[in-house]
Amino acid sequence: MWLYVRFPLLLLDREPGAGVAINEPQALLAQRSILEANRAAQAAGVRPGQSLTTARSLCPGLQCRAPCADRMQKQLEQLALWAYRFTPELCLTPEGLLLNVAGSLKLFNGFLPLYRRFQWGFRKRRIPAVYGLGHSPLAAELVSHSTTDISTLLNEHGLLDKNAVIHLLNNLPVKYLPCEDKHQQQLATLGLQTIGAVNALPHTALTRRFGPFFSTLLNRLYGIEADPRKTFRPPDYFYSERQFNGSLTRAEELRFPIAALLGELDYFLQLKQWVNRHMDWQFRYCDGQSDTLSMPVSHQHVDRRRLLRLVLLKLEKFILQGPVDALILQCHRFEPVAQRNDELFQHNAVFDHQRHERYLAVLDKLEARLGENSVWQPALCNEHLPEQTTTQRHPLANTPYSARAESTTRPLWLLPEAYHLREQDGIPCWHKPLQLLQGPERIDNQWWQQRQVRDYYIARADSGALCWVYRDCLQQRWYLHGLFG
Amino acid sequence: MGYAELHCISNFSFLRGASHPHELVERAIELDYQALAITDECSLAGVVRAHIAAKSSSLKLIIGAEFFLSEGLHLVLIAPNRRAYGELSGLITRARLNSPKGEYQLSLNDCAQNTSHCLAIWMPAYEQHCFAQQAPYATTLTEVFKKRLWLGFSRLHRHGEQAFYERCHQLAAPLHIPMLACGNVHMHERQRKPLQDTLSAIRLNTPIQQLGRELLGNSEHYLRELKALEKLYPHTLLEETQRLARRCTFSLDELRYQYPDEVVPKGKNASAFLRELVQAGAHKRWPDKVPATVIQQIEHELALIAELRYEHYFLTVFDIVHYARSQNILCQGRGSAANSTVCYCLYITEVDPSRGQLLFERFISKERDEPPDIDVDFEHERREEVIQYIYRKYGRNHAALAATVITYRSRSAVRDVGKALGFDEALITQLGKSMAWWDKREELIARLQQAGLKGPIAQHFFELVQQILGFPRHLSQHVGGFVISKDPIASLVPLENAAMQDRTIIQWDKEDLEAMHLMKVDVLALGMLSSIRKSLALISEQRGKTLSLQDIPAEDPATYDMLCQADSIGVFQIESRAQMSMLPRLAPRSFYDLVIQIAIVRPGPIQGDMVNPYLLRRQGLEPTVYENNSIKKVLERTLGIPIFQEQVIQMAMVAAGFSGGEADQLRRAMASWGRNGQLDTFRDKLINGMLENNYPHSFAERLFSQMKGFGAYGFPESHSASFAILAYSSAWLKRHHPAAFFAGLLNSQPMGFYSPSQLLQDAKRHGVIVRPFCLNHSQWDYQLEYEQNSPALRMGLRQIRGFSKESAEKLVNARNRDGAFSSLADFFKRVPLSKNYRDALTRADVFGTLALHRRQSQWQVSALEQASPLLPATEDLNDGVQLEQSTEINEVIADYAHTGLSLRQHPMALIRHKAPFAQCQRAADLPRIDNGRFIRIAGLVTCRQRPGTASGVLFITLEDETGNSNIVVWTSVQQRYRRAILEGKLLLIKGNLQRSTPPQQPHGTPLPAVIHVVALHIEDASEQLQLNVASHDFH
Repeated sequence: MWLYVRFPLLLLDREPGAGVAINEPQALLAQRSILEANRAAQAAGVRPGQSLTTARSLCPGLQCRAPCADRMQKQLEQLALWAYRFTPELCLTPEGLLLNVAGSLKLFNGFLPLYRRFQWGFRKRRIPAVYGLGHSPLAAELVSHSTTDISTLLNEHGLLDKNAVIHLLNNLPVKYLPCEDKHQQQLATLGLQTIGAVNALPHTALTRRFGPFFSTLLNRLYGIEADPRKTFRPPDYFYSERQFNGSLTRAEELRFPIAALLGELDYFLQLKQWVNRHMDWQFRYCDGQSDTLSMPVSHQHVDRRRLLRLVLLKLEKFILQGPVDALILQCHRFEPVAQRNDELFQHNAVFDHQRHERYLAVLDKLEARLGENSVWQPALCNEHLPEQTTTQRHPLANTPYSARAESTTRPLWLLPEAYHLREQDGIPCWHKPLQLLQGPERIDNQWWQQRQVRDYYIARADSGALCWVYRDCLQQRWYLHGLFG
Repeated sequence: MGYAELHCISNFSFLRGASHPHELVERAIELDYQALAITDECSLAGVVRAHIAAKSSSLKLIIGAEFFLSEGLHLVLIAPNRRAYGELSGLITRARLNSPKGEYQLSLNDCAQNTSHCLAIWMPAYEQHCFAQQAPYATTLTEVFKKRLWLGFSRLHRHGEQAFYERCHQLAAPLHIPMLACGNVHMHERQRKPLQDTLSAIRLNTPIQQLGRELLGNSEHYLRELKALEKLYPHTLLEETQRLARRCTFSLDELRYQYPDEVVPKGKNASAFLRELVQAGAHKRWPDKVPATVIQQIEHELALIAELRYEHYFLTVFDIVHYARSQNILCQGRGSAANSTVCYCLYITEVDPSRGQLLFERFISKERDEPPDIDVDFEHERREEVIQYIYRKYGRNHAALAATVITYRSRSAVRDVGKALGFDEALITQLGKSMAWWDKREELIARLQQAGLKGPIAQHFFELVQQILGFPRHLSQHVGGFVISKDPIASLVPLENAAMQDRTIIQWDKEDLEAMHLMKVDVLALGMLSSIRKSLALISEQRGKTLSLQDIPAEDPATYDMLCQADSIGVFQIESRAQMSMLPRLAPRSFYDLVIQIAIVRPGPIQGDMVNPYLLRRQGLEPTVYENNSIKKVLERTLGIPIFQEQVIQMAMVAAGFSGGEADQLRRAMASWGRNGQLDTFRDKLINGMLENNYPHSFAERLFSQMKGFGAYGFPESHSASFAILAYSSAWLKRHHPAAFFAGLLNSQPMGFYSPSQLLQDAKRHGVIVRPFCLNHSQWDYQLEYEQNSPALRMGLRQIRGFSKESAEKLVNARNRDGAFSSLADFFKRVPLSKNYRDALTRADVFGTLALHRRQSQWQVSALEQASPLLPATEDLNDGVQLEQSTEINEVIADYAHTGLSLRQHPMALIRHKAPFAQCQRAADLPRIDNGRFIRIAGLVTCRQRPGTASGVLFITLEDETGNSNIVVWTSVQQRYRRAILEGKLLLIKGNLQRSTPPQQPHGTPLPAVIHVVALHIEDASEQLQLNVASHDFH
């Protein structure tokens, strides 16, 4: 007996009803194309899949930010983790969870109480869910597309009525069969509109025409053949969140959701037999901003109550920037229950062929101590404007652009922001008038964003230092941009 | 201080240059440059335009080209004299012919061997290590070019230019290579830089934001002011540019053209040979006796031809036409050439001079100062044979096709600029859909704004699209303009590879050729010639006796009756909606009436208000008055209304004493809207001439403005007459042999105004029985199947989308060999076909003869495809399953999807019972409805036409199960229902019926009323049917 729970709105970043309606158009951006857009943005015509240029042309005031990576996958896993307590035979599908509840019926006194627990659980989390029930995994998945209440599929003993399921399946449109588009088209041209119609054809005839695929599919659907699925294994990290409607403004009110999340963490750690080393609490505000509170956890054994007190203590010093829309807990530093601490640097570090492994380990530890984004490496970029030619990247990232050997002289130090110099008789002055040595090198670019026309010169300051200045031809001003040596 | 810019590319260096050649020339003139060299990359495609722009000024135009050699060297070659020009052209040809289309390959060795007169400017690489690599070549270059080598240096505000200058100097000085200043100019003004960047983005197929250093770093690559140049370059370098420029004396005007010799047999004189041929032809045309007027005309023409030395041209065209006829390819000359009796005798044209008034001066005259232009139409399917003949006879080096410059239009501009700026596909496609083909340039921006685009980047988008409109994208093969010359063509203009295999084109287009006075023969394709020949062949086959075009009886009353009923679908030139509305009103009853009919239904006469007066006079409702007898002679044949260009010329001759040539010049001045400023001189001459001949001033003024009005648009009578011959022939065939007529049309698609679907519906309305696709009867072409001498039309397999001629031949061969097919399995066993072709047949529902409907045949066919080794092979392809046949409407939709038509019921008939169609009228009901009544009508959109007159009215043709109806949509209604009009396939129109009954003829069948529905409300009802109906859209 399989229960299927499908979450049709998981892709949306904002669930309906959660959070105050935001008037500013906002969108999630991934690799220069729009992932999701809020209502204000959609009203202007912004749609998922559009490029940034298109979106900005339809909605000039659009604000974009990057989404959390794998949020949906994490959410699904979090839900799976919660559902794990009902049955260990749990599988993930792209849109939902598949559970074999046959073995859990006795524990929960029948299907209906179990079903109600599910409904209540997801309602509490404000996650819309659709249910399907069947005698095979596929049947449960497909039944979830029909609008009938699954309780009608139970017989008088509270057990699954197989015939009712089969009857439902027979009347489902063919489009719900999980097969390729070309097969769907072939079925359409043959005039086969319901799954029952397809199943009524002799399977040998189907195999002859479509290969064994359909026969297997139908057999699995109707429970004639087995349909083995990969069971869920809890992930190697912890992620969970609680959503509010923006009514939480004071830290004290967060006590209960924090406790609930810690409870989930506890359950997770017990499953995995791990000890937690680090916690990231993220407070997401109604205006889309968020704050993070990071807490290393150094004790070997975790006492839930002490942990809660620790968190609340840290929170006292933490000032909330506004009404909180969601609270997220993430942990990904664990240790097996019995493991000792390592030193930051190994004694007798030997440069052997496992040097790279050690390099990675050091990187890890630096990041752990200093923070996620504190470790970076400079890299070259294919751009004309000097401030764009260097970027930061993570030490392990791949750079697509390798600099050509350009015969351009660039200063070693580039000011983070060009410094406006005053002018005296047409000569730029940095305390004293500068002596222009070489130039101009003219750069005229970026007209599609903000045109920059600069004449760069190598100049000598009064102190003898060589510096890099430019004259902004549009603003008619001089700027200091960098220093040599 | 003067300056000559010697390194400059135009937008004919495709997707690199950001200015038109004339913009560069004009700017150079403004800047007071001494000279300008247009040096496009391995191309001379833009030089003629530059030449014309520079002609009337003091700027010297220098011809050159730049190359990036295979050794990595960047070279500009300049042609100082005619010989060097020939070398340059030849070099470009060599470089391009050895490479695929759009590319070229040139090595230093090639230059060494082929340029002894060109001047060379070498631009060494800017980057230090590249410079070091190239430095050794300095000696080689000196050896190759000797004293004709310069080193070009550009100040582009790059980093370290001072050091670069010194390096160049150190390289050049010991070898005594003089250095000169050059600009590496890509645009005429700095403000073109965004466009130049956009072109780079299009070229590299990457959005601008991601191009980084692929873009030029700054906007210095433009034509600078002299003052600025003086500050940037040492004096000697600027002077050196002038020194080089002074060595250049070549102008494109020096190019002289020579006709090929092959056309004249050895030992004969061209003039004498031409005379021989003309006389022989005259005797064939008039076997009894050649009329005296004709003889006189021939002498007149031959004398002029001899004086202007055009004999070779006529002989060349004669030779081509003669070949075609020897191969039984139907052909006919068109245009002003049909004014020539010589052409008629040479069988180049078909308009009989003894039956009308021809005006040779419209074709050739002393004053014209340009070679004649003869266009010949050939059967479109066999034109390739003629082209190959020309190549064989003259050789690939002496015969080449003219190019056409493909430029940016609205849609391509929006698409390419959009992609370059980073807009996505979806938005661009949506923009494309919302643009109508008739939108003017000015409206384009408004349209884009309506689509919701705003903000700074949208502003850039608009500006760039405006700028890029009209920019050349690439060269393509012209439809049929051949250049044939005695000297190798490559010495006149470079050749390059066209997209078609084994096809080469010259780098100049038709206008360039005209400006350069090079002879061009237009070898054109006309679908109707193919169609007529096929119809005649079918008739001849059945009769057992040949019926040729000349055998068609003239002036057949039944044919004219048919045309007066506006029953002209499929008839050449008079089948459009506009023509059909005119037919009952003009009611042609003679050949000359057809000549007028063809010429009069055009924007010119309509706007010039010729049509109504003509019709009124024809119907006897208005008196016809002539000023005097000489005017009467000119205008009598058109009832006093000037309709033809020849009449304008004749009037100038008769009323104002112009000579034939002068009068033609007047016509051309009018045609160009007085752009060359000569219109005024002519005006005075005309009016004075008329006053001298005692015409009242008011008449003279009126005549002048009348002539001005349609001088541009009027048709040449000769051209109209040539077409009238084909119009009459096709009408006769339709009237007397409809099955053969439609078979010919359907077998020559694509051509004509109507789709196969519409042609078949018209055929059925004319009583032709159409038999569906049949495995056991159909062939590739449509066939006639005779039953007691009455032909039925059998559908041809060519109509099936995705099927091939070879597959059809396989099918027919198998059938001929072993008899009819008994089952699907039998068919596929005997005719091995790939999966695609099998599917095409199944989808087209051809297995009806085997008692299989579409679904069942698909069921059986899919069994054949996936033969699994584990399953036993059974003969029962049904596997015991009988699928239900689809509904009629779905079958019709599938028919349209896979063949473009259906022989079942018309889609409208199938939905007629449903609301809202139940309240709609049908096309056949309209004649019974009173004028002015409010009606609803619905149908498939088969044609949308916007003639481009000032009123901006749009015509839509709707098709239903009873025929076609014409809907008139005024501009206000167009704006309200723009979406439906542009995208709808099935429309529901509410509007008022308008009918006008033409005055009836004294005898014969009553003429039908002309009916239109003026639309008030337009609704897109396309979801009722997901039909794939193609609409014919045009101006």
